[in-house]
Amino acid sequence: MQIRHIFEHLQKDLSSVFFELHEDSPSHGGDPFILVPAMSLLPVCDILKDMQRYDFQCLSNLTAVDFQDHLRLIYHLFSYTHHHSLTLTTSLLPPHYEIDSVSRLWPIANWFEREVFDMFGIQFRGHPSLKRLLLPQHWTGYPLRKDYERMAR
Amino acid sequence: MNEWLGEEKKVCIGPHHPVTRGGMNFIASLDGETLRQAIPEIGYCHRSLEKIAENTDYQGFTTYASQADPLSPYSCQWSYVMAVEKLAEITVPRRAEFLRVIAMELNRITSHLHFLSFMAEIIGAKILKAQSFKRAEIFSHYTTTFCGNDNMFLQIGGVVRDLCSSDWETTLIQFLDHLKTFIDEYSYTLKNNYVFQRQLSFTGVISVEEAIQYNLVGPNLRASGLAWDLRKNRPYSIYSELNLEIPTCQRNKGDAHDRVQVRIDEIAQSASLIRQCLEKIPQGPIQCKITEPIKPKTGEIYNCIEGVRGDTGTYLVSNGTTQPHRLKLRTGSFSSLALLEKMGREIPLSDYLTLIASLDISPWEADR
Repeated sequence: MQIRHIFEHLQKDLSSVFFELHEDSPSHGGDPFILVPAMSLLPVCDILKDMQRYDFQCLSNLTAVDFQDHLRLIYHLFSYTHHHSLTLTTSLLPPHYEIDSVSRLWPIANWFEREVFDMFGIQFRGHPSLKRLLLPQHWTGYPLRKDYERMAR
Repeated sequence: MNEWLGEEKKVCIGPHHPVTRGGMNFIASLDGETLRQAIPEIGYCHRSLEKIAENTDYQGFTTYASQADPLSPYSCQWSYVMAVEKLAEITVPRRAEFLRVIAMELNRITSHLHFLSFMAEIIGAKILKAQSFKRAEIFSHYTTTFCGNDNMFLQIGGVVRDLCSSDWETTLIQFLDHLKTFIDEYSYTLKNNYVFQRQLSFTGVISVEEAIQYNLVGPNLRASGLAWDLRKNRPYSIYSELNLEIPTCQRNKGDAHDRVQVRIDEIAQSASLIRQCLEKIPQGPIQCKITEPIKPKTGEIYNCIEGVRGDTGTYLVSNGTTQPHRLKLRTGSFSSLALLEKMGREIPLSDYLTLIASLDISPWEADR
């Protein structure tokens, strides 16, 4: 399925959620993605994983980006049965960087979320053991945030 | 011995241990020889490449990208370079695409030969280890003669060097013939040697469902029985013009034995790809004209290629300046390590060590 079709089906399946489709434009390049509100991320992921039509068994990547006024989480999903992929994003506004964990749906999210917590300080509700992954446990600060003081400079 | 049983002891496997190949640690709770729980601890090789990317220009980061994994420099480098080219709409000359495939496949053979040598060492087959390592070294030599210093071959818009000489090609093809005999021998030993069978068969079995849930990629996924290869299923570069069979294991058990067998088959496959490339390679430029500094338009892109350890993804966010706003490298070793956390329950310690070895994890790539 193309992302546009996924978007249309999602709107029908979850009519209470407000989806936004961002597509390629002359000023904005790259992959199209679907933006969902942070509070409806878990129900959307539930449907994307379990419904036969989408069948996204695989979370190929999870990461975050700091846009200074907000943090954005990016989920790259992939389906081996339908051979289609989807970029799902959600925005988190300061100061509450908190969202539901998807590690119940995709076990790999356990480590991805730990890495995002380590680097961006986003709290994942319902994560089995949210602690730093790459940096030492006593580290302070979240290095991939734009306001992180760079010691090397 | 008996007085030790029934009492759990915590032992660290690593960060320096023969199976960890660099720096990673497993905190193991042992009951005698049985592993009750193992928690992987990574970060020993963390070089904050993603932060460095945010302070380097696009062309400058290509060198860093290759350092993500010293054993397979071109996996991350190609993935990154291709992401930038897609976002900045740069078309790479055809000859450069062929040269990239040759470098990548040479690299795949070298890395897999290192793996075979490593597996032989774990099993205790010292001579086979030495033989594999010797061949890996010869391939390293071919790669270095062709690509120069490992980390500076690919660049945005093309490659740095052209093929060296016809002499290089002739000797390489002769050596590929010789390699065929060697991997047949290795394959024979793997199938018939008692020690190999005993240690590898039914050790560390990973089912397809598990592999997909934990996002296992590349040879490890194929060993579990799913014939998925980006070079074939979602062809990029010039792979669609080449004849390629996805190597999956006939046994379909998903154990350590299959993971070794798949890599042996991949070596044969890569050798065939190199031959095809050398036959078909067109004349022409190896680098297209680009305006420095590169400024891709605002946007984000996720690009995946089939690296040595499976899908190597680059997620790139550009804000229209000369430096990336955010760069994330997604690698195969990271997901293999996440799976190891789950697999390390109630199995003999020796089986767990074989499992770690058979997944061909590179800690540098997992930590970035």
